[in-house]
Parts: sequence; C-alpha cells; structure tokens
Amino acid sequence: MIPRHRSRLSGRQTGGLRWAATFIALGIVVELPTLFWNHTVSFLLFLGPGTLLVGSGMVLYLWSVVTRSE
Amino acid sequence: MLSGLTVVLVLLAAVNLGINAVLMRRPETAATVGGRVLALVALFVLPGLLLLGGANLHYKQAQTTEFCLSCHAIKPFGDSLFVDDARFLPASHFQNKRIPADRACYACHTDYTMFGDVDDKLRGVRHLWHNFWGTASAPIQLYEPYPNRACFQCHQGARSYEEQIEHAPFKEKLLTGANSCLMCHNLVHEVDKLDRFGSWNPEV
Repeated sequence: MIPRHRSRLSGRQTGGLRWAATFIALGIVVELPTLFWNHTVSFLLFLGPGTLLVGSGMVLYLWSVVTRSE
Repeated sequence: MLSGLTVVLVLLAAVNLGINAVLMRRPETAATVGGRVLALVALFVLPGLLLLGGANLHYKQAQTTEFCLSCHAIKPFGDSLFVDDARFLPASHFQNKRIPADRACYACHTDYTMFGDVDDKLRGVRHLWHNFWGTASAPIQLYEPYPNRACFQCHQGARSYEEQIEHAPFKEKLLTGANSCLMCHNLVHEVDKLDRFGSWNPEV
C-alpha cells in the first residue's frame, strides 16, 4: 500500500498564510462599517486602507502559495 | 434600510473572518487538500468578492445626493436646491421632481459621454482627497463651462424645449455648444447670494 502523502508547509509558508489572514481580517474590519455609512470619508476608508489591507493579504497568500517548501 | 447587496456582503465578511481566525491560529491547516481549498476561498475568493461587491456598493452610494452633500464644500450647493424662487435652475428642477431627488447632483453633473461615468469617478476620487485634507478650492468651480449636452439629455426632443419660440434662433448654436443654455437660464446655484432669498420647506 502506498503511504498517504501529507505535504508540510515551510515556516515561510505558514508565516505568509498567517500574515495574509491577518491583513485580510484587518481589511474586512476596516471595510465593514463603511458599507453602512454613505459618506465621503467612508468611501476613502474603503478605497484606501481597506483595499490596501485586503489586497496585500491576497498578494501575500499568492506569494506563500508559490514559495517552495523547505 | 439595508440593501440586499449589503446583507450579502456582511454575511460573506462574517464567513471570511471566521475562516481567517482559524488560519491565523493554525496556518498548518492549509497543509491538507481540504485546508488548501479553505485557504484559497478565505484568502483569495471571498476577499476578491468582498472588494468587488464593496466597490459596487460604494459606486452606487457615490451617486446619491446624501453622499455629495456629506462634503463640506458642497453643502451650500445643496442649500441652493431649496431656494424659494422658480428662476433658480437647480431649485426648480429639484423641487418639481424634474430630476430624482436622491440623485439630484449626479443627474446634472455627470458627463454624458462614452466614458463619462469613469471620468467622473476619477475626478470624484480627487475631490474626496481634497475634501479630506481641506484643500478644496473656494469657491468651487467647474473644470469647463457647463456642457449643453447635460441639459439636452432630458430636454432635447421635449415639447417644452422644441416648441418654445425663444429657443428657435439659438437651436443650432446650442447644439454645437457655441451658445450656452446658461446664457439665458443664468440663475444657477448662486451660493454667495442665497441669504437674499427665502427658503422652501418641503415639510410645510
């Protein structure tokens, strides 16, 4: 019987995933209130810090996916 | 009243936050096939949907009168919609429901061209920036003379415009933009003179 393969994540990958999840969670926390507030400041918060945090998290995730395991 | 899109986005955000909490505590969850799919959903698919959905929501909100008037510099222009004098062009349009009250600014200040909406949004972001840092010009001025095509969007072909005898000598020049509609209809927002006129109260 062929042993079931379970891949391991490198330290860099787990760190990347953790930071990605943190950035995205922070971005969502920034963006959520803006959905209930029809105001110029809310638009700027969504477009600026919100998009930046969520976008950074997504890029970090992609980076951790393509990083080779040690 | 919450829109359907807002409710969907809040639900997606709650699910995303839940999965993210797991991934923050135990990123090694992503080592299994199921964990990888979970990570893909929580760290790429859901955030992407939230960004797109949120941008769409904000894009729609940015077209409302409430949104425009939340900027300090624009407040007097909103007040001018309530002037109790029918000669004021924006006031007569607003008070007689010739434009939708909840999109009063957007109805007349959108560039009705192929990329008009996109141009307006890009300009709008710049306006928000100036509003946020308090660097808006005082008084606010249009980038270019008010275009007749904004008026023609509703009035061209309308009986009230076409059969008005006073319009006849100017029709060609109005179409080409050589003459402006505001040459004759020249009482517009006049924000520096508002205190001289009475105010209409829709509640009375």
